[in-house]
Amino acid sequence: MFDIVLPALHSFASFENVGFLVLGTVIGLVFGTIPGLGGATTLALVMPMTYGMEQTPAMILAGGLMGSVAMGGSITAVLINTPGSGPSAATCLDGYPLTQQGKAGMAIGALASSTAMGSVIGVFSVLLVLPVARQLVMMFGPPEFFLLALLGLTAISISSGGKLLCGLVVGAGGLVLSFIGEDAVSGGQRYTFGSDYLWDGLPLVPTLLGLFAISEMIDLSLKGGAVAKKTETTEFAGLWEGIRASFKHWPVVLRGSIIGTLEGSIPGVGGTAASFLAYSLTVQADKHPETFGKGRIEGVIAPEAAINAKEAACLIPTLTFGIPAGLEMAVFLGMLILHGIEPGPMLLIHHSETIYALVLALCFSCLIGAVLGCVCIKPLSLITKIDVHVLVPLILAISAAGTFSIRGEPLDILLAGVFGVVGYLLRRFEYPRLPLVLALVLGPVAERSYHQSMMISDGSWSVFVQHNTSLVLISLIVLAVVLPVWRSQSRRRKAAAEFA
Amino acid sequence: MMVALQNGKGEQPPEPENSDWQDYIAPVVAMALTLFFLVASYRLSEKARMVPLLALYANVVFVSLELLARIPTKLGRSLRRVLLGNAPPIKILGGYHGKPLSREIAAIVLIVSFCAAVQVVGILPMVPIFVVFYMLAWAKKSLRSALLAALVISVFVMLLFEVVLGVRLYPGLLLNNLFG
Repeated sequence: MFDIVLPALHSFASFENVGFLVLGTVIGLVFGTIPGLGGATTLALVMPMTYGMEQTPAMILAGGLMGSVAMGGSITAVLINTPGSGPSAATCLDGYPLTQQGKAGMAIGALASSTAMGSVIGVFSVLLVLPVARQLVMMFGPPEFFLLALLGLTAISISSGGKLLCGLVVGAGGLVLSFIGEDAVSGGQRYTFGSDYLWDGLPLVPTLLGLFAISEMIDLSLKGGAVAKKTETTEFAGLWEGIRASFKHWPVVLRGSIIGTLEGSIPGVGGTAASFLAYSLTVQADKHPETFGKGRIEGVIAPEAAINAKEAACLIPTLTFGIPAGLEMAVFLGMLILHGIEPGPMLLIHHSETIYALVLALCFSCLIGAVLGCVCIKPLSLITKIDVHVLVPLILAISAAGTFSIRGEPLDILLAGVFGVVGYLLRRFEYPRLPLVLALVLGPVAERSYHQSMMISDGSWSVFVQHNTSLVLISLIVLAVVLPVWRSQSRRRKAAAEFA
Repeated sequence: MMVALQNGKGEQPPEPENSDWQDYIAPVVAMALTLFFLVASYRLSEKARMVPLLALYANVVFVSLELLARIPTKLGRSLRRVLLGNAPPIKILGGYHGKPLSREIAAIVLIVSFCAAVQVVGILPMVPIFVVFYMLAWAKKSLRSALLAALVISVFVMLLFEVVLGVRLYPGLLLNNLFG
């Protein structure tokens, strides 16, 4: 491995390449903080500017950008409960309550260190896996993809703070919403009710912006005051405590990174699923799951480690099979082709140095982004002291413009508004929003894989139990359903025994 | 027993209060939506509705269980303990964050109106209008701070999207019709 990595590392000895790395990191960090502008949009904007550049500097710039964009999105998720991109939405769940408690420094510290650790683990996994990636992805057929999606949905629905039924209702409802639009199997339209706008289904970015950013603005406009409940204590004294927390909770980092690496290496599953699954499993593994969503530091660490490990792992199917793992990777695929790099098994033979430079750039970018995030924490803290009545119109204006900038479709803004109300009502009636997001992401994957599996087996469900991988996934699904109910009951019995 | 209670470990979870009609609103709406989509599914081809029906029938079961769990019977209380985490009944009439229900509805209408008005007026013209209206009518700020906020936010959005990103922001139906 080192014989390939060392020449790639040599690329960073050049002042020019380091400059592109830092530039990419800063662009990613800044643009990542803007809701609606994810890595895909930013990369698409930067792509034409790299046209005249050499392959390696262009890939380093792209790696720098892709590595830090999630960090930027997570900073706003923690400070103002507005995720810059879908995956960072999971960080809101405990990151924002920490900010409200005046512990923004601790949250940012944990975010930065788990970002760095997740990225290092992710990149290390990629360096190990890339040469044997073909065999890894070949293990997953349609039945395994279906079961994996089902596992994600089951796990997320039951991590609803004890409200299993509420999670399941929202999850199943989200699945139905994910089926809106063109049916990939029959080619017909489903649940569009005569609207042309819904032909392509519900666009994810306006939906997420609505569910998280706009619903929060409705809530904030009612509350008034400053974003942080304890503005006087929103100092960043807890920064080191946060950094140390990631080391203290290393199993959470490791679990998140493994989930991120696995989900990232499977096309179509994406970062949102990875971050929410990492969060969900952390909730389940904890002795006090009911305290999550109220400001647990592990709730920040787990999704961040998963997001950044995933960023690197997404490269596996994109580079080896030319199958983009998500929207950002689809744009990146275009960038590879623009620079004359053809993805596929021959890639590592013809462009090994460039590709390994890209992987390392992704890792270095996360490290630089983590340091910059901590250094710029004081100016960022000012966001939490703003009067919400200034913040509400500002975020609404940015969300509207950001939503429109992605597809140039004005109705996306209205959809974001509608999902803002849905998100607010879910919160008001104490239903979790997580299952809805995951169902929207995993629904199409699950359905496509289900139909493919049925076609393979001529309609027999035995296809789901034929391989060892499937059996492992089924066991995990059963465990994910039974374990929380069993734990909840045993806790109750224990409490009753102590009471008696 | 006292030690256990002080430690917060052996505290017997309290029985939830009895539900009233407010507690049933959410599951009833969820059931109505599920049935609506269920009926709509039967207009689709057999293949197209296969997976959606699985999700919809599962949801009928989940929502029915939720409704049962909210009814104050012995079975309901048991279901509520196991499947709803012993959650207290939901109250809406009392308002939220100490604000009355009318204010809550007004906040929702205000934000949705902005998203709808953007369709007609366009993003850049609508932003200062909304900021001034919001700051004056909702936040009760002075005219000076409202105008200042409108100016700063509008210039920021314009610079970021139109100048830096090169995105031509939506001009709205009105301007589109006037100037093509």
